[in-house]
Amino acid sequence: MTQVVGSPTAATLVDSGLLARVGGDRALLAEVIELFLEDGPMMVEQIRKGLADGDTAAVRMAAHSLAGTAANFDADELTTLARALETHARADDIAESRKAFARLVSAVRQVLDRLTVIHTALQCAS
Amino acid sequence: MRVLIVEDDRSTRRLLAGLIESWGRTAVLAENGQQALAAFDTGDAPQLVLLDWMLPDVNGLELCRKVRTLGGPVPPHIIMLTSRADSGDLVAGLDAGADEYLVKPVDPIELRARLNAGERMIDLQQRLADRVAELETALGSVQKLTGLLPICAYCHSIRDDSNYWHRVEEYVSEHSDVTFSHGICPKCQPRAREEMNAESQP
Repeated sequence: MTQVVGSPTAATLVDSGLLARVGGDRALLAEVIELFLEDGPMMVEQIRKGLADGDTAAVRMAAHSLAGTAANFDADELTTLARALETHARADDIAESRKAFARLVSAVRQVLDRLTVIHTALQCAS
Repeated sequence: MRVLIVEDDRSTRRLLAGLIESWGRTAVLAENGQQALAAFDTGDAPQLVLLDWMLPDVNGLELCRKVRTLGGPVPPHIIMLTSRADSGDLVAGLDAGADEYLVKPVDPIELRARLNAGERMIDLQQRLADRVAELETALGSVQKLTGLLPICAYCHSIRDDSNYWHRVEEYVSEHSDVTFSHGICPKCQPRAREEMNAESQP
C-alpha cells in the first residue's frame, strides 16, 4: 500500500491515540514503530522456539515483552492474546500456550501490517 | 535530572527515552538489571528510575531492593512500570522500595506528572540532607562544657585538668563561646555600696 505525501489518508492513518502515546512527536513514533517492526517478528520466533523446546520461561518472557509493546500501539487484541499466552506459560501449560500462540500469530501479522502502513505514511510526510 | 530507564524492550525503551528527553531530562538506558546497577557505579548516578517489572536477568522487585541497599545521601526515586494492575503485585513493588508505580502502556501526561512529583521529592530530600550536613558541621565546631567540674566551695574557682585553679568567668569563657559582661545583682548591691563607702572613707 502506497501513501501519497500529504494525502488525507496519510494524515488519518496516524490516529490521535498513537500520537498521544509519543507526546505528539511523529519522528519518535516512526522510530518506535521501526524498532517494533524489527523486534516483533523476533519475539514471535522466541515464543515459537520456546514452545518447541518446552521452555515456558522463554515463552513467558517473550510474550510479556510482546504484550507490553503491543499495548504501546493500542493493539488491544494482540495485547490480550499475548497476556493470555504469558499466563499459560507461567502455569507451565504447554498445550494451552500452543493454542494461544496459534491465535497470536495472525494478530501479530495484522498489527505489523498496520504499523508498516503507518510507518510508511510517517516517512513520506517527514 | 538524570532518569534511568530499565526496560528490556527496545521500542518501549526508545519511547520512554524520547518522552523524557523532550521534557529536558537526560535519559540513561539499561536493558537489564546488571546495566542498571552499573549506572549507579558512576559518579553521576541517576536520581530517578523507571523500572520495568520483568527483566531478563533479574526480577524488578529484586533489582528495586538492590538499588535501595546502595545508600547515598539522597536515595533515588523509583517508579515501577508494570502491565499488571493486580493490587498484590503493586503492594509487593512498594514493599520492595518502589516509591510509585505506573501501569503500562504508559500515559505520557501521567508519566510527566509522576516525574515532576519525583523531582519535588528528590529536591526536598536533597535540601534536608544539606541541612543535616550543615548542622553536623556546626555541631562539630561547638565547644561543649560537659562532665564534672571541681569548684572551690568558697571562692568558686574552678580546677582544670592540669590542676590549675581559674576564676569561673575565665574558665567558662575559655571552654565556650560565652563572653561575660559584668554587673551587680540586686542582692549584692547593698554590700557593694558598703564596700565602696568604706573605700571612700579617709
